[in-house]
Amino acid sequence: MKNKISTLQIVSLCWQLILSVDIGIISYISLISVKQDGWLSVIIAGILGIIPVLLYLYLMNYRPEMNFTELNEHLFGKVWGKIINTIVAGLIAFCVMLYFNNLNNFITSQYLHKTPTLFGIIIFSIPVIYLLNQGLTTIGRTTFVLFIFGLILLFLTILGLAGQVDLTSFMPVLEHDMTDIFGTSLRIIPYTAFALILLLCIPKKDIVDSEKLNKRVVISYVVSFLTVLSALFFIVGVLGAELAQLYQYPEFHVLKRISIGGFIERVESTLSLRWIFYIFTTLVFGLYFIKKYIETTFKIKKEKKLNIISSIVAIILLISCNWLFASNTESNMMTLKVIPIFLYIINLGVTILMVIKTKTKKC
Amino acid sequence: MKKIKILFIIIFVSLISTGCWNYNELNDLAITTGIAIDIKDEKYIVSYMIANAKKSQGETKSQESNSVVYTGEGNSISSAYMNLNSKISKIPYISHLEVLVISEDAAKKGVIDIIDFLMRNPESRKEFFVVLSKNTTASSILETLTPLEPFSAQSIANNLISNKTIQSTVIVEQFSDFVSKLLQEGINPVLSGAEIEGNIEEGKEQSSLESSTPGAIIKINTIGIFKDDVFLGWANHDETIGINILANEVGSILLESKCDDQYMAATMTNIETETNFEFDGDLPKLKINVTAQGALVEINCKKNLEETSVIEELSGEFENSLKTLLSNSINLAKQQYKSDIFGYGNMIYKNNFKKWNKIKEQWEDEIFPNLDVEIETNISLSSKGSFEQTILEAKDEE
Repeated sequence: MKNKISTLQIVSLCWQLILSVDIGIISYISLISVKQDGWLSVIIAGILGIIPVLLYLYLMNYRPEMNFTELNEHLFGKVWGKIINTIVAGLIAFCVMLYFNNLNNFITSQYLHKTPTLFGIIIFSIPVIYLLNQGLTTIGRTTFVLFIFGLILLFLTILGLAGQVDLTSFMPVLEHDMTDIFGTSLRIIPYTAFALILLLCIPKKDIVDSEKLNKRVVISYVVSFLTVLSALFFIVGVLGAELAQLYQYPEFHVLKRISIGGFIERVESTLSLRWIFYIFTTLVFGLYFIKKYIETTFKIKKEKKLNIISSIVAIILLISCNWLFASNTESNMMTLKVIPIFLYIINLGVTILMVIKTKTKKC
Repeated sequence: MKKIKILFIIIFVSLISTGCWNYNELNDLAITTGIAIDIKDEKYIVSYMIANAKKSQGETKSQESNSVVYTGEGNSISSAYMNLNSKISKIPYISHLEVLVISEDAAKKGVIDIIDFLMRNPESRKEFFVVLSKNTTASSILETLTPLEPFSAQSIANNLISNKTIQSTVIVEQFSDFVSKLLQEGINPVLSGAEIEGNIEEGKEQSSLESSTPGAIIKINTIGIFKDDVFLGWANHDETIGINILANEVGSILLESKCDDQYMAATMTNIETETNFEFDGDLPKLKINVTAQGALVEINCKKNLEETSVIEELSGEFENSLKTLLSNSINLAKQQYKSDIFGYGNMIYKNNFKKWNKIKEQWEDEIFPNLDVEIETNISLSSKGSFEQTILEAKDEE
């Protein structure tokens, strides 16, 4: 039972993986690019983004006993499989660093601006590495607990902000060309698609009651996108697109406006914990993907040895994220312009290649 | 081995979980409730009103003030802050900031520098009130001791909130709303103005509070008009009320009108302003419809208030007064300041984006100052207070 996960835990995982790219990435990209028309970009991204999700589900169902790396070796042969796996693992390693960098930047810029980033890195690295060594079942349970906490915090957020939305903030609709709106969607899709590729590190056979998996993943994908949309709705509706554009993390600043019953106020630090949960989950799963890659590629059978190696890799990745970007400006520029291209080429490219290969193999 | 591992983890976690890095004890913080920004000889003068922490511990002597105002000077706001900081033994903490006071002179220079400083500061919550100081320095406003509240910053904040509901002679603008208006197209911000009534120097003395008539009090009953981030000038009491009605940001107002040679007054509540545009080619024409419910509170002329026609006549008088008040407010913005403080341009931008693109370049200088405005007022005088009749009329009937 050490490596089993339930469908419900997978659903909570999907939700958190998608929402982890909301703060500082999706909202940033949509507000910077198309201001109040961002909601249209998110809807288009949500609709188009279902394609990679369906491809992932197809790959999961193709060989239920294999995870992503095993499937690649099976489809492309040992050498090419290893090369492709290494490239994908490299991309995931980079994205883990990017997300952790984003998390640390969020924490140090919004709550603990006098705290050295490295200290935050150490604090977060400990539970991440601990969970990594505990196996899939523990990770799944933790994910589910964080999901429940996240839901409660989300409910309180909606309750506190619902009365403050000014619908005129969304006007004029379609101020930007459809080309811009569509272009923004295309920048959002690779991030959500990347987040969900992490699901492929779990072979379908390890999922309890997996017969409902496809339906539940698609539903959780839709609900997650609606949550992303609601976040944008509150940001623009409460702060206004112009002000929201100024902030690095408008999600956090909109929480400062929360007042529940006139006496629950100044709760932004507590309510924003859910983003930390989401990014935490994504970090754990990203590193779990890399662990599985190491296990398959280097044929490491002993669990202790695998845990030590994956922990060392995790420590190196998490600590080196501190030096990933020279500044926030560079990080934002990369997030907006450079990283989506790599995500398209490697992440979606490899997925499409794999699907094509499964078809040709059948023939 | 396992036990040693667990012990090591417990010790490590205990050591790193004792608190945040560089934490500050409450005693080490100088809780700042008000900030004042002045400009003198091209230099910024920044004043922080620090709550006197000793007071809360019951150690304050009766002669001691509840708050202390520290001042620093510098070429930039940050350097002025650093200069101020060197005079305080504690660390200024602005998360509990209630009011920012900007002097007229600093506002005339433009408030972008001030906004940038406070928006960037991660400690600042951006949800505090902003007022302009009128006919005095911003620091004097903070230094004036107030009889009903422990800090002048708190007094200003409470005054703004109560004034909005009762008199509507203020704009309750929080910092982030002010910045938001500054950034939006087709709208210019406004800020409430605070001035000192009485002797400024006396108002700073503790003895001022010992008298039943304080040496000086802070009065807020006017609005400062901006064009972009630059302060242009003031609206008077009536124009301020008109601006608030047009902005649909009004609680209740007291409206006066001529009644024979005397005056009558009514409080207006449930005031609703509906603004619509019609276009004649590319030129917009504004239609404003204001409805309100009135309650007669004073009438010094002889009228038979039991006649429906008289009530209608009085309503008509109040409607005309309201119309004049609104016209004056619009003309002030249109002709005197040429600043669209009502956000009519923003309304066109949001509702008719294509038209706005055609006219936005000429909006502030050509179209808005010559905007054709039609005002409709509709007052329903529904209450006469406890009296059915006027005293003069009743006396005549006897």
